[in-house]
Amino acid sequence: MVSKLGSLLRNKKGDSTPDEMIGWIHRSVFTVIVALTTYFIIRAFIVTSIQVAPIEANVLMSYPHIHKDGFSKFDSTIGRLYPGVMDTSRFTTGQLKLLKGEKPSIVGRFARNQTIIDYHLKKEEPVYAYTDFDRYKLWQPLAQSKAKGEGGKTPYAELRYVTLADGRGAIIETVMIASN
Amino acid sequence: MKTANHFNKSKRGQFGFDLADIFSYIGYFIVVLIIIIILNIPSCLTGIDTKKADSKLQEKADSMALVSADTQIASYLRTQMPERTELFAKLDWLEQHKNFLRTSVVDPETGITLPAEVKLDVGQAKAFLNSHPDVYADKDYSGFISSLQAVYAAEKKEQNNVKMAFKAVTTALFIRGFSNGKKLDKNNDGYTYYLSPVSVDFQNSNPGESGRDSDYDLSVEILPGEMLPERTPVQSIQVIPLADLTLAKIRLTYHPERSSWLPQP
Repeated sequence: MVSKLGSLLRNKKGDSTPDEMIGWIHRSVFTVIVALTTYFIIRAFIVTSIQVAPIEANVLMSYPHIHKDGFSKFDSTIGRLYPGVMDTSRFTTGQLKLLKGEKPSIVGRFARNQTIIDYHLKKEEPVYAYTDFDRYKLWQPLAQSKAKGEGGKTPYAELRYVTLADGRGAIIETVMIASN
Repeated sequence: MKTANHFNKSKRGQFGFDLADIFSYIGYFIVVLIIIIILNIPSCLTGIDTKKADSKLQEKADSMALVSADTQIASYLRTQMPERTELFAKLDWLEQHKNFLRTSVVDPETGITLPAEVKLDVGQAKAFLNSHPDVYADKDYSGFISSLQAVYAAEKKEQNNVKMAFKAVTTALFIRGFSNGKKLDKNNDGYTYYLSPVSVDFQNSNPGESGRDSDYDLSVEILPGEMLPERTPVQSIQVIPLADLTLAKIRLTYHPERSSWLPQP
């Protein structure tokens, strides 16, 4: 029956048969499978984008606390740094400039504020220090807009209690702005 | 006359391939499958899961809260105890605002977290500090704890007073607040107050021993319900020497602030 049908489908010259054509369908299907598999394997190795900004921001938040060019108390005589103890004279934008790179992809603002009871008993204005003041002001509106995608900026923030060199307590409010 | 091509075709099945073809296709498919399994790339089929990668990085970022906790407990211990006037002014403020403090307790029967009032007797703490000015005068917070231990160990009847003094002073020094924007009423002054748990263990002189959470001698925490769910807390422990040559273990359980409470750019 099938061979009869095959002879009916044969062309006039008789040099091509339906069973050969059906065989090529399988070959084509497997060729497509192999091609797609190869494509996906190669694509899996190409990582297009992974967001590392949260890690970088967290590292840079801690950086001025634990670096001798940061704002922690530093005894140059014995070369000892006191992480968690802030030297208020070093809490300046000029000091933090030492920590920024040539073209920083993350900039930060550090605000020294009072503890909540001190704030309520005798309010003082917060003191600010920036790693890169100009760039921070430039990026601030972009971060506030929370725009997604290329060219956007994302803010990362934390609160941390520190001791001032005179023994009082303070809250450091940190905001890092990173490029998307 | 039969050609060679015609001869080969005659050996094939009715659909143009024989068993050898079928087995070669199956074998080829299995080889490809094994390569995929060996390479162990699930994303071959599902595409690159960048969200998963991002979440892993976020976990790492969260773990860096431990760095923050370590520096915070170090800062706590180095904080200079205020002069009497300033300390008592802070305690007075606490007395006036203690009705606004809320914490959370877990119902042992249902396991549900419920809001609870903070049990703080500032008057009792002030009376103790009045009778023992040496525990805070010219000391930092670490020295304050060390001095409390001397009283705690020597006078059993003073132990409750020591516990309350620790609770009140720690709260007065380190309590934090978040402006919640609510209207002022009898239960709210516009702030949500919180204090990450601080516990002190005088008994455990060996820092290598496992912690006995329920047996900490002194402890204080103010964790309103708003503080609890968002991120996993981390614990930081520091050990300080005491006058009687034993050690005190101080534990800070740091609850990172909710992202909506953090400063805006």
